[in-house]
Amino acid sequence: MKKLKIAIFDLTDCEGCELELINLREKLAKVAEQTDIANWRFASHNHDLGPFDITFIEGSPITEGDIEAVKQARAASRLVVALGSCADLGGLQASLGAKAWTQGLKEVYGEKYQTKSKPPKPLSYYIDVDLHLPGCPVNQNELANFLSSLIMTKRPEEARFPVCLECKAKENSCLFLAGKPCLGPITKGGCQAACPSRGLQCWGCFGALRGGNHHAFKSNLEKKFGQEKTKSLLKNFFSNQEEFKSLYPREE
Amino acid sequence: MSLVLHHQDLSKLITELSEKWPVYGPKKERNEHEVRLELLTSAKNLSLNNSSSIVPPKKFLFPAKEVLILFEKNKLKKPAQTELILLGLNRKDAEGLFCLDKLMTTPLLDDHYAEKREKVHLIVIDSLAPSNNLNCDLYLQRVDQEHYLVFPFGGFGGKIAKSKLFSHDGDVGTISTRHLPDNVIYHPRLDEIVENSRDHPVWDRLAETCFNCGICSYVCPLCYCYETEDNFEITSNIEKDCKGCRNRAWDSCMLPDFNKVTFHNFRPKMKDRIYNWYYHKFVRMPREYGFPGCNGCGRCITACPAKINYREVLKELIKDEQK
Amino acid sequence: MSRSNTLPFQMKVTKTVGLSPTVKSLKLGFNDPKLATAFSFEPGQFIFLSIPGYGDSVLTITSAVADLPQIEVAVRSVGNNTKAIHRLKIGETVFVRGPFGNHFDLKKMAGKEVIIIAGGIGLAPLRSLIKTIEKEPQNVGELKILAGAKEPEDFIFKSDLKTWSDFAQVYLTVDQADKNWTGYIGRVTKLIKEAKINQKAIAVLCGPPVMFLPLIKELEGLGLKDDNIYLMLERRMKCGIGKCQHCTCGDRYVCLDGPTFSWLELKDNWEAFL
Repeated sequence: MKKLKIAIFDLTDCEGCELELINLREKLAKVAEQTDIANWRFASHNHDLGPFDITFIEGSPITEGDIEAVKQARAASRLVVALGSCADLGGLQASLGAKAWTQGLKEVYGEKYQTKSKPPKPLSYYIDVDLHLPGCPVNQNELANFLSSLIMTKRPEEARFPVCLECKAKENSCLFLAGKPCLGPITKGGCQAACPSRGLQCWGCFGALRGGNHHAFKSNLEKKFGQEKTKSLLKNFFSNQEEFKSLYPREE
Repeated sequence: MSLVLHHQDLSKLITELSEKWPVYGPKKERNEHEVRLELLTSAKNLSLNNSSSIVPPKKFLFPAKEVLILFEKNKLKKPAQTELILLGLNRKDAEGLFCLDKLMTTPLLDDHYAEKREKVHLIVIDSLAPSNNLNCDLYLQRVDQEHYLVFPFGGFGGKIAKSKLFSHDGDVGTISTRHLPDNVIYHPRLDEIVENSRDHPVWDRLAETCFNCGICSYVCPLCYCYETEDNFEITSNIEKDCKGCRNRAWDSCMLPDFNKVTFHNFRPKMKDRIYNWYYHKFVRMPREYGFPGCNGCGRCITACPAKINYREVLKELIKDEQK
Repeated sequence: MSRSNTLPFQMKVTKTVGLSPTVKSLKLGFNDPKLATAFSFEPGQFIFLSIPGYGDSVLTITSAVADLPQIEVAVRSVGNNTKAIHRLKIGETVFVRGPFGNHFDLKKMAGKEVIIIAGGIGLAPLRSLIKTIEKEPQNVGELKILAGAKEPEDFIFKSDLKTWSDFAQVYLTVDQADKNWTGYIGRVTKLIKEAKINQKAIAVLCGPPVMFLPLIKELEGLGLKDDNIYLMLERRMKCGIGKCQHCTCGDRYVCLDGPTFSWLELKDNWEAFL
């Protein structure tokens, strides 16, 4: 069997998802053994220019150079994977929206500052993305299953359940019922309820669950926390998703 | 003369049993209201006050995720199951397990479940007398502050009842506690009422409040729908050993993709999924198995983040039917 | 000892045939000679075919009982498991559970006109019935096969369709014809008039969900009784034994009560045609 040729690129982000890849340790070694990791700035001397079977892109493109790079990567790859929430959803940096982003730059760097960056967007804003692996950071188990699926010519399956499933599986008592604005019920699972298991509310980093009852959840949140806080909570990770747009149709 | 266990010996019994088998039971640790079924070595933190565990005892037979089949190259095998004792379930939870046993083994047998069930021994502790709807090995009826009346069932129950901790010398009175019949879930015409309620406005209302998170299924002792997924072990080599497993994991009929196939979603509307949840529990299951898919444990009510109370829903349907 | 409902048994691929651009037929033989003699099924029943690591797919057996100890299935490549099945070579091992589900009522069909109506890959689950009738065509009154496909190349069992005209009336229609097409053009519903169906006939339908209601309307219009019209339903399935709940359809389980239902049974079912 021919080895899969893999490239891993990173853009604007914290590199935490790549770190999770490294944290796979012996599992990553097995992946490297069964594939050809041909380009990975973060952890390899290989700088092959493609073509690739699978290209993982971490982070969100923000400069013209980034955009050009992802377009080139797309053209050179059979499958493109959005690795982590920055690539998949735009990440926290996308939650501001274009207006607030420009405003923020002025406030921090002054009126005269000429930025090269554009408001952050998910990868899919610029190129077609074949596979999605969200998370801030990605979950190691999901990552391992994702990689093993690719090795065996299998399309990795996305979680079809909310965070609550894995949260109840861990027998956590409900943070939402305890009065915290936990986004677990409408957030895509796969994180193994990492935050709620440590007493922290879910911030929605895996993105909105497709088909979830976001309208019901939003009005419930609004009753408890008011419109403004609700919106800012939902905006953190969902701002570029269809689900968010249907909740706030007039949003830029 | 009846077989008796003194309350102060319960802890010794647990210790004695835990030398031979892993013993699990309801334990409160982090706080008084959070009960989980965990490993016991004594009666320390054991919670016997009828408060229910966050996740029902089904987690030992039908856990959130479990291995159904192990494979290596072209060989398949079933995973080995460990023998364990489940101690301190109240009668309601034990009856729930009895129903789950029926659901998983009839009319067709889920042999994976049956093999697990065979290895799980049940010691029920409740102030109520044992009922017929039990599949337990030992029943300890708390008759007063000091004593339990002991009812062993079957070979395993007989074996553990031989412990010196049990005595025949007790002459204890029995508290008569009556179990009040539940007039909602055992309403004689509930199946018809729910069946005919498809046009009732309550379903539209629920579709506007329910988050579709599926928590009501995860914590239900009688919800058993599942999903399977095949995983290939990343540490094996696909060409050499190709090791992996087929997992079975909780699912919920409330979830948006529950009935989705590649080209079609057969139950795309939330309202229909919510109706189906009630229909299964209060129409299909009573007709198929003779009992509703609910034993009134109330876990779904306590756990629902949208604060939906199925009893209120059923009461509304019953009330409006009489109009 | 009875077979496990959860642990599959081994079978070997003995033949593969490409049926259409997306559909492949597989012939499977038993690895265990004891099982080869013990295994039986009825036309209309289904199995789960699995390649460990890829998943489990529900497939209706497409061969006749008389073809045992080999069975055939037709697989459309759509998901991980079916794609992996398409990559299988002769001699490779697959894993099977089953048979599950109900079956066609052959006794009821005795002496009657039988109408098989299939859309697309819907012909696959009906092939076992046709092949069974083929062995003893005199058992039924008359067999009429009405099949539709998007384009001529999308028909599955093309060579079968040719041989079946020896003992059955075969009517074929396509949505889009090419220059070599000599059959009908349009929906399967259009074929009903052509086939001159007897009102005492028994009809069996299988195809995409949108196909059913218009066809039933036509058949009812011809005077066919509700319990003489049969439909095969498709649902998501994980267990085949009435546990996983994915295939429930109103008050029925497709895996236990189906996959074949009479129109009489489904008429009031609020989920059959969603």
